[in-house]
Amino acid sequence: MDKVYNEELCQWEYRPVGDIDIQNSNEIKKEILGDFSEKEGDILIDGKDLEYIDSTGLGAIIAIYKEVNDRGKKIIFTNLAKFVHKLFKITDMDKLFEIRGVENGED
Amino acid sequence: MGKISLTVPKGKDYIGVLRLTASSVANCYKFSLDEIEDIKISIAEAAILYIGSDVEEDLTTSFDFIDGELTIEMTISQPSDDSLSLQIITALMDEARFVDDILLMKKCLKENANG
Amino acid sequence: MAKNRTKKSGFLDKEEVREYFDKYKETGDKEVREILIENFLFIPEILARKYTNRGIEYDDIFQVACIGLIYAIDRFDPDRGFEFSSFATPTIIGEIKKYFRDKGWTIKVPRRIQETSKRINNAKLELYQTLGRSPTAEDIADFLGLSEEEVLEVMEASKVYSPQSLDVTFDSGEENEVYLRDLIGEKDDFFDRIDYSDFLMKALEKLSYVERKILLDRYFDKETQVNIAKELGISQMTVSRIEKKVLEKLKKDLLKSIS
Repeated sequence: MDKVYNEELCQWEYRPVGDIDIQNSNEIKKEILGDFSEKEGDILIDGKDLEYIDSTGLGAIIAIYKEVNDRGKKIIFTNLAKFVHKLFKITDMDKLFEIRGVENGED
Repeated sequence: MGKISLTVPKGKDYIGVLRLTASSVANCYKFSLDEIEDIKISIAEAAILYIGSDVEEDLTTSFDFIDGELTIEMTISQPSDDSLSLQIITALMDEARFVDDILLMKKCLKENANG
Repeated sequence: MAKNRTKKSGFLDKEEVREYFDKYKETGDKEVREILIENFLFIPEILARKYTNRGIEYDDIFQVACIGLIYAIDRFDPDRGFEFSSFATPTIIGEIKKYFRDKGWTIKVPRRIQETSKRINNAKLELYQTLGRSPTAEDIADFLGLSEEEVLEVMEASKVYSPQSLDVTFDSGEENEVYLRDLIGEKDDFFDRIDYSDFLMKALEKLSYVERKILLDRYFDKETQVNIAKELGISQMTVSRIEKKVLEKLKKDLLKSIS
């Protein structure tokens, strides 16, 4: 997964490609939590190339949220596909993150 | 078409088999691509529930289509909490509930004004 | 056994390759195998480079590819008349794919599936307008001239895609993406384009005595860095540093000579 630490904004920026699902959600969770333990910053996830998240992916994000939130940081999602945004809403997770920019500008 | 049944062992690698079979079955009944996507996702989420459970037996999934309604039954028992998977399934399918140790899901075929 | 090696300097011509394989088949001598491994190390290097992707380290894939090389050497039957490199390549690729699958990483979807998927999505939008309803696979299939199965399978492909196909695109970062299949081809062509013995001979000649000794002792004799350090009268850390540098140099030179 493409990632970079933005020194100016003090945040980790990720750009996952494809799906975050049962095949890789665990690795992604470990990677992000690992990065966070090195440098505690906000977590920004650019969903431009993110096509889908399943429940295990959502679970991973929640786990990340818990850790990050404990340390007073937040998770930001940008460029979410409509369907992914819909999943966040179905599970009430949209209340946990800052969501900026959804595809087509709709809900 | 009669009832179609599919049995797979426990493992994430079989989710794709379930999804593709579901898409093929749903397509036979002329569900739209978006509806097929909802069905695939629901089945995958149900499989995730099954994988996360203690059950060791193989997972059996059956498809039946009666009166414009696709009924999918999967040998999964109700989890103890309101999991994310269930939330997703309930949102995407027209009906989803547990009957004994079976997850029952239904999707209705919307009447397409077919020209 | 170690003493012979300096004479040969670690590269083999075709006859020698055959000799060593015969000897290994006969005796199962691991030191003979070491020589074969070292001789063919360029195969995992090339293949590992092809599969290096966002989020996956070259070093990890290279290690996995080397395991594949060892399997291939163990299984190779020189009597069958195949070139070792064309025999080894699928075995090594198999190990790399298994590694991907076990790691569950996101893989780049094959280009043709990406393209068909785009066409399907565009068709979906267009047909939604013209039909006034959500299109079925049949609608899309008729519109694009595909079978319904193809439509369903492509839609599923990015999810269940596991690297069975050789069409893993190599992201060079530029416009020219190279299909692995074209590189490897049906025959040995690709590997014949570089004369490996020649390359390694020249590369080894360019190394200093210390660099050459470290490289050969480590990879032929599996000597520990500590022991080499003792022999040379330097620190183990220095040996480690030099070893790393030399391998880097060799990899760079090798890749330069292919492109």
